[in-house]
Parts: sequence; C-alpha cells; structure tokens
Amino acid sequence: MPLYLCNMKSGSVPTEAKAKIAQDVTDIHCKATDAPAEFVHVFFLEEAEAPPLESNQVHLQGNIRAGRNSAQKDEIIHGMCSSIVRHTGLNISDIGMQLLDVPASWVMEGGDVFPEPGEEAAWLAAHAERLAAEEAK
Amino acid sequence: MIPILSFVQEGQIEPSTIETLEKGLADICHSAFGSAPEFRWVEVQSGNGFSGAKPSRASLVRMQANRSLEQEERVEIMKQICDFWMKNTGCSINEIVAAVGDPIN
Repeated sequence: MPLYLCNMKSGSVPTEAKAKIAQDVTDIHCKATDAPAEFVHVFFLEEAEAPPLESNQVHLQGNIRAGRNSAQKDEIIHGMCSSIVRHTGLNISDIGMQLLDVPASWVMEGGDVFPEPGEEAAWLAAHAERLAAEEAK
Repeated sequence: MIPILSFVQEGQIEPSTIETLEKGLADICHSAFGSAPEFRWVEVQSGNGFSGAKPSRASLVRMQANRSLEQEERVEIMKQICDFWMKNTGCSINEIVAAVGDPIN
C-alpha cells in the first residue's frame, strides 16, 4: 500500500512512459504523505475490467491509507494527472482519477499490519528490527 | 461468496501453482467465513508492474469478508494468507501484500 492501478486504452500509454509515470507516482505520493517509497505499488493494466475507464483514455485509481487530508489528496491528484499528461501527450480531459481510502488496519505488508498515517517511522524501525531478528534465527 | 482479488506479476507464478493457491485460499475462506470464495486473478504484464518505482515482484491478495471483523481475527487471516503464499510460491515476506476488508455498506 498504496496501490495505484492505471487502467488504459490500448496504445494510450507508450511503453517507455510507464517507468517514468511510476517514478512520478511514487515520488508524488511520498512527498505528499511521507510514506516510504518501497511500499508504493503502481500497476498498469490494459482495458481491464476495473478500475472503469468509461470515456477516458487512462484512469488512475489510488488505493491509499485512510486519514489523508484534502490538501494531500489534491496534491496527489494534480501531480499524478500532470505526470500522465507530460509523459503521454494526452489531454487532461482524457484522464480520470480517483482515490479510495483503505483503513491501514486492513492491510499487511512485509508481515506487519500497516501503520496509521504519521506512525511510519516507528513502524519501519520495528519492522526492520523484527525482520533482522528473524534472519538471525 | 467471498470475493478474492489477486494481482500477480507475469511469469512469477506457475499456472499449476494457481490451482494450489486457490485451494489454500478457499480453505482459509471457508474456515474464517463459512463461505466459498469467488476468485478474480489479474496478471500484471511484464514491464507494467512497479514497486518503489522498480520492477515489481509483489503479489497482492485482497479478500472481502462477509461480516465485520475484530482486528485480532483479521490479522490472523492476513498472516495465514501470507504464510500460505510464501510456502507455495517461494516469495519472500516483502513480496506479498494481504488485505482483508469488511463488507462494503
């Protein structure tokens, strides 16, 4: 988590643009939320069943931890849509985006339940300590 | 039915392993919820999956419960999913994400 699903019409996102958009999505999410980059997942899907494309060329759905405020969400949506425009040449009107709030307590990554927003540093320290202890066994 | 949505990276999991994974997830599902699973698999094509902006090796399994769960029970189910997935795919603990959500109102 977060999981960003980028559904796209065939040919709308050039292959070489995907890594650049994924880098931007990761950077923008981390800048807006202070989340660690290694847990940001970006998956590109072509004309998948979901998230729905409707009339868009690209639809980006972000499944993010609940608790982010409106300013953070605005920064994420504006930054990521701009990145897609920049790297694909599409018009902003061709791009749809939505953010879905997912309770942190519903997700386990790296074997630990995800921390609430703002508790990442303590979580990362405890997580690293636990993994190191398990490796030492 | 309990919806189970799984994202896997292309080529990471053998087709024959999918059947094993479905059986194991179905067991977890029956044990926890007394209901059968409804599977949906999404294979992320090579060059289309990124974690930390690098090519991804992550699998994500999302199960939606048929009742509100106490957190202790939810954590136990997520642990079972992760343990089972690692045992049968050979992935590391950092390559499996499990999510168990309450019903959507």
